[in-house]
Amino acid sequence: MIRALLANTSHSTTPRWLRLTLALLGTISLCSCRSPAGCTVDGGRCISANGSAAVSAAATAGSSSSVAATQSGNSSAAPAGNAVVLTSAEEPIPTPAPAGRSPSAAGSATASDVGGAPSAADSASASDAGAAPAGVVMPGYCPVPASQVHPIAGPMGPPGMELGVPIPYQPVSAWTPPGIAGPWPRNEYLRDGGDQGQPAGVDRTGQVHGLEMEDAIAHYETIDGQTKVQPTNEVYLYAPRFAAVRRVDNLVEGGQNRQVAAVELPTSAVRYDDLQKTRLNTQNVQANRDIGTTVANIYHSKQGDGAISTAVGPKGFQNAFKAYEDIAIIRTGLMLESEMAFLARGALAAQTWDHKDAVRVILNNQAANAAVSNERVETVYTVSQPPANPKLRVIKVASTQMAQPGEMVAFTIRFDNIGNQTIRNVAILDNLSSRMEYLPATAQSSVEAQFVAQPNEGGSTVLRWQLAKPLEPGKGGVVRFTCRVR
Amino acid sequence: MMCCYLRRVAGTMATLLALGLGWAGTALSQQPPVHFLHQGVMPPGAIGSQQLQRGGPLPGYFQPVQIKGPRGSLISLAANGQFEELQEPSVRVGMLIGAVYRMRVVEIPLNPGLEVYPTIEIVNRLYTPRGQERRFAVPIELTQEDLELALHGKFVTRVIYLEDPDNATPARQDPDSQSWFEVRPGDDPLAVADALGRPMAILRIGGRVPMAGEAPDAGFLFGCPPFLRFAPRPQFIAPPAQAEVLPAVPPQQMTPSKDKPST
Repeated sequence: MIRALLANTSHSTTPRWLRLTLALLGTISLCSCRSPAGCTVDGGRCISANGSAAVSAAATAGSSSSVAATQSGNSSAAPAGNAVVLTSAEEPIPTPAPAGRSPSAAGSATASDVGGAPSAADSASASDAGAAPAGVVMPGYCPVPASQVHPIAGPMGPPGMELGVPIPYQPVSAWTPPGIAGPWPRNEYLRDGGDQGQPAGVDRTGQVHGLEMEDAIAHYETIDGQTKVQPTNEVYLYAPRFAAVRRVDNLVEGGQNRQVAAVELPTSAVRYDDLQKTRLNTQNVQANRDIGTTVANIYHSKQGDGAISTAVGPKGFQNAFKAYEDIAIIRTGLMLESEMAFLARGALAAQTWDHKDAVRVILNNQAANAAVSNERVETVYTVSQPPANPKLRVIKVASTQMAQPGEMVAFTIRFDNIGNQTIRNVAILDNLSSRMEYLPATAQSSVEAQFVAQPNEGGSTVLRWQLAKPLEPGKGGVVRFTCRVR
Repeated sequence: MMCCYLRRVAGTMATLLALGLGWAGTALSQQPPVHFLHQGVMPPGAIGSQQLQRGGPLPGYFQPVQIKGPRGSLISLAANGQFEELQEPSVRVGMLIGAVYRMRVVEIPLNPGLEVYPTIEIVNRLYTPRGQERRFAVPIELTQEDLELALHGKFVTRVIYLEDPDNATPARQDPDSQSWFEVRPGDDPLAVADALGRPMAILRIGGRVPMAGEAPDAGFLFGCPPFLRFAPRPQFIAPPAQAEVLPAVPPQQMTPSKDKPST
C-alpha cells in the first residue's frame, strides 16, 4: 500500500501529493479519535466491570483548578479584599533552641529550590527568586497596592472562637475500601492545607504561582536571597453538602398511571412488574466487615538524637491558648511523647505527620563548636560554624473534625524557624476552598504582621500574613482565622 | 500495464480505507465520554437494586434520611402493609439502600383533602465518621411546589446528590432549604446529578394513587421494606415548669450500697 501511495507513475490519475495528503489526514483522524470509555462513572469515580474504583474525576478537577490558579496568579490587577495589619507588642514566640542537626530530617523537612528537576521529594519546592519588593506592598498572590493595606493595631478575634475540640488528626470514616488511603470518599470531606497539584512557587516579582484552592503554604527568604516555600499539613473536615436536580413530566389525565407511564415512556411501563425485585433486599446481610479503627501505634519518633531543649511558653498572644490548641507542639513548638497518640489518632494522620510534613524537633546548636587538639605543644582551638540550614516548620490544626453548612470552623497555623539562620519576608498564605467562607475580622497573629484577604478564583478568599520582622532561629508564632462552612 | 493498474487500484483503496477509518474515529470521539448505566426514568427500585450488585458495604446499611415537608403537612411511611400514623415533618428514619419506600402526604397547605403518595429510593450511602450518622442525614425535601405539581397531574423526579467539593457552588446554603435546579427538557436528571456529584436518593412525586376504598396492595407499597425510626431532634429544652423535685441527700448516703446484688 505504501508503494502504491508513493508511486509517481504517469498512469496514476491522481497526483502523488494528493494521495499523501489524504493518507495523512486519515492518519491524523485515527490518532485523534477517542475510544468509548470502558467503564462507567459513578459519583466521580470510574468503576470498572469488577467493581473496582479509581479516582479519575478528582484528578481532572484538580488539573483544571490548577490552570485557573495559574491564570489568576498572573493577573496583576486583581481586586484586593480586606487588608489589615496585625500587631503585637510581644516578642515572637520562642521555640526550642537548635542543638544538633539531623541530616535525615534536614533533607526531608526543608524546602528545596525550584530550579532543580522536579521530583517527589521536591513537591514542596520553592522558587529561586530574586529580591522581593520591600515595603508594604507584599510579594505574592495577586499583589495588593500599598494604599489598600490598612494598619490595625492589636490582635483581634471573633467571639466564640474558643469553642471547638482538638483536631490535629484526620477523621476516619466508617469504612474504606482496601488499598485506598483515607479519608474516603473525598467528596464528603473538605481539605485545607498542603500543596497539591502544581507545586507553589514564588517568582522574581514576588507573585506566588501554583497556589491552588485548599492549599496553604508559607514562603520566606534566606540570607543568601533564596525564596523557599513550605506547605502546611493537610486538615480534613467532614462537611457533606447536598443539592437536588428536578425534572417534571406531564402525565395524561384520566388514565391509569401505569398506562400513562407507558404512553409517555413505554419501557418504563413494560418493566413495571420488575419492581418485585426490591423485595429481595429486605433481608440483606448485615455488613460484618466494619472493623474498628486502627489505633495509631505506628507513629515514629522524630526526636532525632534525643536532645531536649528548653521550651519557653508563649507570651501575650490572646492571653491564653484555646482548647483545641492545648498541645505542646502548638503552645511551645516542642513535641512530647505523651501527646503522640493524641496527635496521631488515626493511622492516616500518622502517615501525614510522619513524612516530610511531620513534626520534628531539631535542635541545632548555633554556638561555635570548639575542637581542641593537643598534638602540639600549644593548644589549638578550631571554631567551625554549622552550614546554613534555613528551615521553617508550619503546622495547621482545626477546631472541629466535622461541620454542617452554616457552622463555624477555626483554624490555627503555627510556624517556627527551626533552622540555624534568620529568615526574612516570611509570608503565610492559605487559599480557602469554595465551600469555606472567611469571616471578616477574625484573623489574628501573635507577631506583628500585615494581613490581606483577597478573593480567589473559587469565590472564596486567599488569606495572607506577611510578618513585619525577620524571624530569628528558634522563634515562631501562631496565626488564626475563622471560616463558615457554606 | 497490468501491474500499474493494480498499483493504482491499491492506492485508491488504501486512500478510501484511511478516510473511512478517519471518519469512524471522528464519530467515536463525538460520543459522550462516559456511559451511564442508569437513567432517571427507570422504574423505582431498578437503580438501587443494581447498585447493590456492584458490591461494597451497601446491603443492610440503613442510611439516615431526613424527610422535610411544608409546614402543616403530615407524613406517614408504609409499614406492614399499611400506612403508619401521620406525623409532622421533619421525619428522621434510616432507609435501606436499593429499597423503595412509599409515603403518604396529607394536609398539604392550600390543598385540603388531597393526598400525594411519593416514593423514595436510596441509591447510595454516606461514609460518615462513627457516631455522626444521624447528624449527617441525607435531606429529602417535599416542597410545596412539587406537591402541587403532582396534584395537578405532573410527575416530579427529584434526584438528591452529594455535591463534589471541587465543583461546589461558592454560595452559602440555607440550612432549611435545599438548593436545586431543573434540568433542561430532554436531559436525564440522574446523569446531570452524577456529573455534579454522587446521587444519593431519588424522590418521585405524582403518578399512581391507591384505589379508592381499598387498602393499598403490596405492589403499590413496594413490599413495605423495613426502616429505622429515629427520634426527632428536640428544637428546644422545655423550662422546668413541672420538673420533679429531688430532695437533698447527704454525700455520705450517696455512696453505693455494699450489698451484693441478687443474681
